[in-house]
Amino acid sequence: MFTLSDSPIDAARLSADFADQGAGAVVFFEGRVRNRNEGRNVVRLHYEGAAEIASSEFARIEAELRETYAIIDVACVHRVGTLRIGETAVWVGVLAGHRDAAFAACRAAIDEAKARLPIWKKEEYEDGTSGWINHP
Amino acid sequence: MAAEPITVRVEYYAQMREATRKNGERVRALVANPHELYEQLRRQYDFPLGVENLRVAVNQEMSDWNCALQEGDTVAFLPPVAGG
Repeated sequence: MFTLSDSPIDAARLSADFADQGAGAVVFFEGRVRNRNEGRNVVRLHYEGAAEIASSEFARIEAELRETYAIIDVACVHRVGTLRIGETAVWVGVLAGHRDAAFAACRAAIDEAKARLPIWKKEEYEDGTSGWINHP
Repeated sequence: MAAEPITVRVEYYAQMREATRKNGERVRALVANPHELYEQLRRQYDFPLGVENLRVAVNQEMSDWNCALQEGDTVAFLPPVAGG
């Protein structure tokens, strides 16, 4: 399940609410805004996303993960709007019976989410310039 | 080339929104697929990216450049993504 959120991500609450009685292993990943990128001082970020396309694409990612790993559930929340340094940009949670599947699926989930979800990032730098970031 | 013009909804994001100064628009065009639609719009706008650097979504699903477009479809041209 995927959510695009225009309000701050409360990772503690998301993590507490993401549960299953069969889940012996729970892995969370949290991506936060860092203060430097490619040698430049970043002051803030702007994220925008295409919500419906992101949801349909995450559903495909989830189906692929369920085929590959023995997981119970996977969820992802991505923030949009203006974020300051240290704020949470993305949260991923995986529930599984055992830790091997939980770790591996969480890693795959964030990698695929970053590569495939229609979400864009514009960085604002200390020198007043800004630019869209294009991951290869 | 399609036989009849169709009306589609086009959505713009990120660099594409800045290039068009629009979130989206209704376009009537004689095009068969998203590739032809993009090349046609490119004559009107100074898009910063070519199809080789974009992906396309049709009706909110990732699609391909040569899929057949139909009347009423929604098409989004997606710049390189940078989530996370």
